[in-house]
Amino acid sequence: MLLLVLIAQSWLAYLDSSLVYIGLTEQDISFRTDYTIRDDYRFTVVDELLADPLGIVNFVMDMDVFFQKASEEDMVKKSISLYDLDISYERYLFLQALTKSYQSLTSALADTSHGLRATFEELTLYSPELTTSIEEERENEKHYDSLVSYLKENAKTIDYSELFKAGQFLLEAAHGYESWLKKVSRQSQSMPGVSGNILYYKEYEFGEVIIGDTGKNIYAKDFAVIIDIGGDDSYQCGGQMSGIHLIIDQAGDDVYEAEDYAIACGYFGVSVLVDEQGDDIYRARNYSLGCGVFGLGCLIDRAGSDTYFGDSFTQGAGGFGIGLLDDKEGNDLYQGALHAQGFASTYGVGILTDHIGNDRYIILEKYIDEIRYLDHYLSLSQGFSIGFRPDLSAGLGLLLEGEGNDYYLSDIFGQGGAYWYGIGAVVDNAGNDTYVSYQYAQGAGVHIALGALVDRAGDDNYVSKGVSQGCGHDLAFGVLYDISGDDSYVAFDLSQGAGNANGVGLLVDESGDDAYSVKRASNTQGFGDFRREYGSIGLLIDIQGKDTHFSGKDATLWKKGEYGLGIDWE
Amino acid sequence: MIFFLLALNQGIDLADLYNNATTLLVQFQTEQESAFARLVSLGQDSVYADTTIAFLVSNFDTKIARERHRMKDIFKEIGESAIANIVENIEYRGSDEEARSLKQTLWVLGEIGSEKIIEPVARFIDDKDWQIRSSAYTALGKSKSRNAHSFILKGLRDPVDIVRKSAYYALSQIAASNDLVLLLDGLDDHFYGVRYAAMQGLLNLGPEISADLIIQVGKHDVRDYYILKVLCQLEIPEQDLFALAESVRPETRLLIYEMCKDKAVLNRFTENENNIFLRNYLLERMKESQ
Repeated sequence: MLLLVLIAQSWLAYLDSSLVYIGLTEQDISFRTDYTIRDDYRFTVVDELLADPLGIVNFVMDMDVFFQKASEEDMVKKSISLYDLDISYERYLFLQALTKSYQSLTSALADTSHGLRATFEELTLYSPELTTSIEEERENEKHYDSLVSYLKENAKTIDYSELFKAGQFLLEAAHGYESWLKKVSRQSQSMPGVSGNILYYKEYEFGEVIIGDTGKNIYAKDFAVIIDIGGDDSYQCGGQMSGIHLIIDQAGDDVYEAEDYAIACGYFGVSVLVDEQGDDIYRARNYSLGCGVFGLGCLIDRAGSDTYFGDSFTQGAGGFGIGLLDDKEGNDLYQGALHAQGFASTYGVGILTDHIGNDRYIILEKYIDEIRYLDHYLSLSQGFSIGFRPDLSAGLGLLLEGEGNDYYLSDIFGQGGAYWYGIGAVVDNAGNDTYVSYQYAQGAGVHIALGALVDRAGDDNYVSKGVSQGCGHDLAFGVLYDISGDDSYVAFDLSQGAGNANGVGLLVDESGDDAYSVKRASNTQGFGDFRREYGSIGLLIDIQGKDTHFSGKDATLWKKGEYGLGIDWE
Repeated sequence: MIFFLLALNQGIDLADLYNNATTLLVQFQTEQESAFARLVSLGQDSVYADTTIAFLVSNFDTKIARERHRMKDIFKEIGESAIANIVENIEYRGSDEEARSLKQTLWVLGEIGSEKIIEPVARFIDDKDWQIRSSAYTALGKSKSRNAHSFILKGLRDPVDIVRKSAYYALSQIAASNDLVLLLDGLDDHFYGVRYAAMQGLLNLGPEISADLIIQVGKHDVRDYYILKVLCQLEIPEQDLFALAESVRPETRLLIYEMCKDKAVLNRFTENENNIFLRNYLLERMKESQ
């Protein structure tokens, strides 16, 4: 009877009823926001969710519903809303919007500290090589500390209201270009730096505007605005180190190639790329493909099966800015190495939204995790956010996946996780998905942060070594919430509803016939350790289905540690 | 200064030892362990102790968590002889508002323990920073001395959950029978850290309080859980405990079932139990005992 009543309620009702067995209430799952002195760059929502960590599930699911349905303008607006800035702007026609974007950007950066650019680059790609001596380690630490101090002090020299307004104007131009295109006087011509036929060229206050025709064009030079009305084109982009950049490609299988700071990269600038059709290839390195660093970068691909190659800070990555990648359909491949695929650093929002298709999210093994391993690599990707401990909070990194059978691969730190006063999450709506990682992944909060992996439907496979699959480590919250499907969970230790060092870890599987496998039964599947003279909380809750557990079976419960509980409700 | 020069003269590079002892890099594990042992040894040495401890204390302000943890471990090994030198620095809060040096001082003093830390630590129980207050109460508890009692009482009503937890932890370490009411109050706290500490305090009071606890059962669900946790760990007649099974809600009854070893009693519980989890639990126990 109790079961019937509970089924009609949300998973939170089951959580409440489970907590009773270990002498807890929902109120006990809460963290303070002032374990360290609050820096100026922390998002309000981080504080709110630290105080009410269970709210992260609804928060990220709401964000997903919004981003799966919203217009592109609303996506940007929603991202900006996290900054609590007072921004109002009026609507303008195409050329006016571009001018306004340029003016806002100029105003935003008018008082910017000159050293900011180099400092951030050095910090985000900090220590990619293996340190060979302790002396070097100490020197690195001192240097790192001075860089962070500089960043903390000087990042506020940017006017973020004006910066994001510049992004909104640019996106408005991207949406309002067609009426201008119809009216513009076209004349076939050639242009240095461009091969193929050009229909229009003019220089404006904000930069050069060019229109390419329906044939193949190769753009070997950067313009402020490129509108290409068809053909399989090649964009050999240079660095977008400042200013406004807009590319609209209406049709064709296109190739976008660049090195660093390019292809929808808002780097001390704003940049929007809209590709309407075709199976496209995007190939770049660092700071690319929907990246905002002291800026706003937005890559929108509306159709086709696409391939995205990047290295670091790529594919929906933001730090002191907003980076968005929105892919509407097709079977896509996303490949990066670090800080990628829905990643946020301090004061950053990084969101990768993919709506339909069987997609692959791959993080390559490139940047060794020298602190922990000689044979594992930092990913910090796939719905992940990290700050600069102990000085600067993290931001909001989201990977929002719609329909399709998807494959996710990362190594250390990934797949719905956050580190130091931030939020990182993956939400996957449908399909039989596979998540493979090694550590700090699949719903992992690390050091005062919140990580979530929410999978709504499909028969899914989760594989990770440890500190994963609903794990909170050090006053942090991690949750893996799987709503339906016959799922398989495989881990080695400290996973599947594990709390460590006063963290809270939660694995909730609502329905389906599931299998839970672990190596170390003592600290998994509902485990909480003891630290700072009180307990950590870990819960594994399986609500329905015929399941196989290492630690129990259907309609049983088990305890591990003072505040660790596994419970299979039927 | 003289000793520092002496140390240099003897070829002892404290900075180098410190760096090696606190490194995080996995490839330097061997260096780390030997440097750690050397620093402990120097910290206990009659000639080098002052210089070594002063050097370590000068690093208390570090922003790097692993250095703080490692220093705590070093001082735990050095022991009580380090207290006087550490206390000399206790008024220094640190280079910024985080007050890292003071937090580290209180942590290290607590980990060393001893009655000698009570007076210097108690100066900080009214600090404006809740983490300082929390650290002070924890350290007082680790002194394991009843002389800390009067200081600890104030923290039981602190508005910050974690500070109350630390104060209750401290009380739990030195509790006497006249603390019973205070500890029972702690079981009603909305923060589980406080409830757990209060429970430990009750447990430390021993079986003589069992009658006082039994009469409390049935008044409040959450409180019942913690009272039963205590009763189940005290050496009281099992029949007294089993009689409580019907007074508490099913979820709390599990605690009684967990400690029950008598097959006949388990059987009786099984026959009367309607909660499916508890029934399955009991059936499993019955199966194990066959």
